[in-house]
Amino acid sequence: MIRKDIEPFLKKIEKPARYTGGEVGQIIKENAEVNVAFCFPDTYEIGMSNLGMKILYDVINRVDGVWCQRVFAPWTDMGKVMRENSIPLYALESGMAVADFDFAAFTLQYEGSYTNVLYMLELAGIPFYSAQRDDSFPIILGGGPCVCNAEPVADFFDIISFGEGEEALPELVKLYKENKHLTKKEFLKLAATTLEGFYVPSLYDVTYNDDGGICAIVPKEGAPKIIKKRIVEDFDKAPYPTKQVIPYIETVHDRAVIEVFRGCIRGCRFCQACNIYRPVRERSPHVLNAIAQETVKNSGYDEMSLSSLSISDYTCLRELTDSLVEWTDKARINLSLPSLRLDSFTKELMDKVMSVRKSGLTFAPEAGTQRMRDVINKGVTEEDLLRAAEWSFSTGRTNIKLYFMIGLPGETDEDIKGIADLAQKVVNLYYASPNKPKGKSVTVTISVACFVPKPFTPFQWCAQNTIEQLEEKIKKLAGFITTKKVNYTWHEPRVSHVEAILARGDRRLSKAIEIAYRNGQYFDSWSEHFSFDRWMDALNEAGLSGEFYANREISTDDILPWEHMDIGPKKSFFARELERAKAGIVTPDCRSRCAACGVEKCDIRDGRKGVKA
Amino acid sequence: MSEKILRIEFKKTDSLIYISHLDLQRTFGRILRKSGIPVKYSSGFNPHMKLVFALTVSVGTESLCELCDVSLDDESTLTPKEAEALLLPNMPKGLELICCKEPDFPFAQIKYANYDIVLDTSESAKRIAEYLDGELVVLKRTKSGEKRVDISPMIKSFEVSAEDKVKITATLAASREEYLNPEYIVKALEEKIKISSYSITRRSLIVDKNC
Repeated sequence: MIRKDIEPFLKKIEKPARYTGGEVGQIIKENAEVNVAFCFPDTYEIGMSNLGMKILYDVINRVDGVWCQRVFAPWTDMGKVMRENSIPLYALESGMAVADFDFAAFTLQYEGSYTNVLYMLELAGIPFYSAQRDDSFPIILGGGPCVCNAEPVADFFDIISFGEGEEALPELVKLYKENKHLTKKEFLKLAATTLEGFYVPSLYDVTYNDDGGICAIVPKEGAPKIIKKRIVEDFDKAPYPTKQVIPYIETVHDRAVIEVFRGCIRGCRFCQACNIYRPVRERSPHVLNAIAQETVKNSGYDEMSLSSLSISDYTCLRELTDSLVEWTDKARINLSLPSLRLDSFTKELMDKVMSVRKSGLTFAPEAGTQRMRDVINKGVTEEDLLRAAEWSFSTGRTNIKLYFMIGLPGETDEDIKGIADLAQKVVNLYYASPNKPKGKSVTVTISVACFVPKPFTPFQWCAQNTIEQLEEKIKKLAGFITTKKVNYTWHEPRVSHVEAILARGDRRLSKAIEIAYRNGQYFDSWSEHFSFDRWMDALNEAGLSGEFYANREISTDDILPWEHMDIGPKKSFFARELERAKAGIVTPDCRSRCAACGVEKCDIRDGRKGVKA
Repeated sequence: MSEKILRIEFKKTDSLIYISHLDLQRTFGRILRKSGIPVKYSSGFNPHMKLVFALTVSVGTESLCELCDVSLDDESTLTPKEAEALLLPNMPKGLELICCKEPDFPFAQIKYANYDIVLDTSESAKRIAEYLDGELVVLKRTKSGEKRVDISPMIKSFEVSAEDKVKITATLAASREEYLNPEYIVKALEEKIKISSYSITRRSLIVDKNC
């Protein structure tokens, strides 16, 4: 429903359909007893592409008497209009102001969206800090992958949903519905003490050592000492949103997305996703096929992608793709498969499903030398890459994109030079290839990210390189590249530095985030809005040091800011993996040999389905 | 054999006036797929549905007379009545199906379009009519960049009335050779008077069957 007060401005702003709602598939309820505003702290196009939001919108709305509506961060032009005309942040379905909801639920997908949470709260007329809000304000709920270390934003939130929300959020809203007579404080305590996977930051006191590290995290009023991540156990029975809200305007992923499995059997030591989504849980091919047909039928999409980390590790990939191709071809549905590992079967598969679109291919060796790839446990060899490149050229492709990281723990000049060498080998391979397209040149793009140590990874204790070190390495790599066939792009070290601060931060950072926002910092993940100086000024003013959070090596004996969160894989596992990294020892994938990460309810370890014979 | 064409007449109203022409094309693709209309696909590297829209309409402009010609599969025996039945349940609020039919004229014969332009302004209808009668120069985007153009020759006729708001009813050039976006009338007037808000509706098309 279009709010009357925004109508006069819709012709003057960019992409007005971001703000009107009314899409096919949006859910309208009459007389809801509990109202939940699901807030995505980035633009409509990004939020509407997020699978997690689709899933949670669906499961919350399945609860009787509860209405979940969507809210996105207005782009800067609309934000200005709203401020100047006193239009409060509102939900798309009803136009109702966010401040009038029972819950405002924010999903934190990346550190760069923290300032946007404050932006949205301000537009909604809601005070930033939990301690400043009385019972007249909605309960501010947080969730998403970043809340595995919610500490930097903990003071802003009343309650955090830790882990997967499919079952946890319906439980929370039902509990609220049954206990509307309670005060907010009473309700939060009830949720924290009776439901699993909910973290109420105000029920924990954090104290610090003289050196700035954590002294203790102490629960009070009966809150659990350790908060356990929630997971959905039976993936075949887990609800899937086959009826989705279909945006009219083009979004980042404008297609049907089918989640094949969750978790990852590879144990790349820098990778947070791999660890926070464990245990690995697969959906059966027949369930996926039914979900896919339903979703396409309901949406009218002409493109469908299979989603997971490392899709080639799905144990029934051939069966699934065979059953999908049977009808997608006829219906002219383009099937896309992200993050493939190239082996003989995938080549056959790609010939089959990707005959129509010949976009360039991407590979992620992540490091330039085998030694470094062993350190990070990226089980890809140079031969794998060259074989894949050879095949790619033989299909007529002349573009290849390679992803790397610099600043990895234990990196030497040799490893940096290795990146350039590997790119050069791919270029040479092209010219040596008998099957290359005639008369065409090759472009090998190398995209280099700066390593960011993330909580719940074996590298969580490692120091990030300083900005100066990273800049020097970036320059050095440029010097190693001797051909114009290699196109070199890199991530801005100053952005990665701030990302590391926010990723490994503790509660003291909320002050810095607030100051940064008040000084005009928001939409951090949009390079035109990111200001390094603003962040450094904010840290200074808050009396904090960026180097302390990003560039210090933490002892494995220290208490981490996220010590009270149980993500599944245990600290002892991460410490063991860190030692193996230092020794350059590879850890096999979970199906080859269980690495005893300590995650519970693991089908692979316990020998249930999804285990290759 | 000539192509089988299905003409879809529809309205673009409510919140759907805020989606662009490209968004509309994508939306139509989804509606046609959901409805199971046997649309013909282009051949080539990246096959796409063969759809042609009569006139684009600017973001923010309502239209009561949109036309989309859909090429049907050669084997299709679908009648316009059957197509209507298939489409009806899949047309969202804001895209209202008027009818399906066989094309009764080629889009090239569209000469003019009738618009209602409603202005929120304190200026009198009489003064606005005077402005519209004279030369109306506005910065217009053309193929060769932006330049100041007198758009008055492209206004075939107009009337101005006023109740609580000023309403201009105008017939504007809408052929392939000469097309006037009604937004330019508002722009031209804004150079002379203050307009706090406005709305535009395309009401109908005028066809010249002799060309």
